[in-house]
Amino acid sequence: MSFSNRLVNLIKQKVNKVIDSHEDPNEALDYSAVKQAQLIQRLRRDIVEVVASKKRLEMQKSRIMENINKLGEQAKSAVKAGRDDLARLALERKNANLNQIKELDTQIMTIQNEQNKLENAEKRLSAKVEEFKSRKEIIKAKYSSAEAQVRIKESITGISEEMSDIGMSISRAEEKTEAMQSKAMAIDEMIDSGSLMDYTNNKDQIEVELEKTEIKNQVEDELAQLKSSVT
Amino acid sequence: MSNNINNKEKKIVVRILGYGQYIVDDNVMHEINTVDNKIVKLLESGENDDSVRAEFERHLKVLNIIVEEKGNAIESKEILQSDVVIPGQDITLEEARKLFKGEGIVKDSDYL
Repeated sequence: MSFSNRLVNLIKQKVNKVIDSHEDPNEALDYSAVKQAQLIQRLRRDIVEVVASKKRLEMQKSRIMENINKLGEQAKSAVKAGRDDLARLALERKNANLNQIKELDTQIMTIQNEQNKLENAEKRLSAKVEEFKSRKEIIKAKYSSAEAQVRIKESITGISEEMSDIGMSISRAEEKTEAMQSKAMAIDEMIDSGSLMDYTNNKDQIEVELEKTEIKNQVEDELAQLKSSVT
Repeated sequence: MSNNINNKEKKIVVRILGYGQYIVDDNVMHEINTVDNKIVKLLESGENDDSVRAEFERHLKVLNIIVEEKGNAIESKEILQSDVVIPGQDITLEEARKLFKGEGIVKDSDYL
């Protein structure tokens, strides 16, 4: 069986179950309307969550960017002070941070895609729900007729298909957001514990070493001056 | 134009999962089916290596492009049943396999 036929059948099975569970077509219309409202609410809630996750990733990205700049400066100072060993250390850390940025960029792109999908789904469903409401009124007015029965089935089937599709999008988006949130938490922890990259909170090893070098140089300079003034 | 009303093509409603519905001419179905068959072969093979993955992604992209470019997007407010449902471009090989086996579709009670 082709993939597309299989997918259409899967959705039809689900939709038919919904339709078959109501003997009274009027009741089926009302039930569907309630479910539609719930789904729109859920979509809107999910969009808010996805946007929040994206913001969090973007904030991490800017924290890491700051760190990269700082490490770059440290490498420069180290070279000036003739401490290649420290410069090398700073550059190594800078590159580790750059890799982290690449990963974050991919994640931000993925989550942006989920956001777009959910926003479009919300637009589609909202438009359909409005259409469904007006159809519902028309159908209800003459629902005893055979034609109305057919129209009820068509409307519910059509909108349920959209809802079933959106249900899948929601599940995927929720899974992705969850995975990303735990990754983001892990990155935050690494930053906070200083194990990965944040050397900005306290004076880090490179800074301390650089200061020592500077002091040493000053001492040497002063000593040289003293020596020349004494002799 | 030699087209007259009698041999006017039948129209097919296609849903791209996660991306909405399109209306396509019946003759486009042939193209869709050809790519679909290639995808089914990959799904049935059970292989996961990079070349299979890349091939899967390529076919999936083609499938989506056929529908998007040869079809017309259906207005949001239209409530229509689809004749054909195809996966969206961002589905992974694993997700496709699950769907193909009939798994991975959410419970009805959650959303319907």
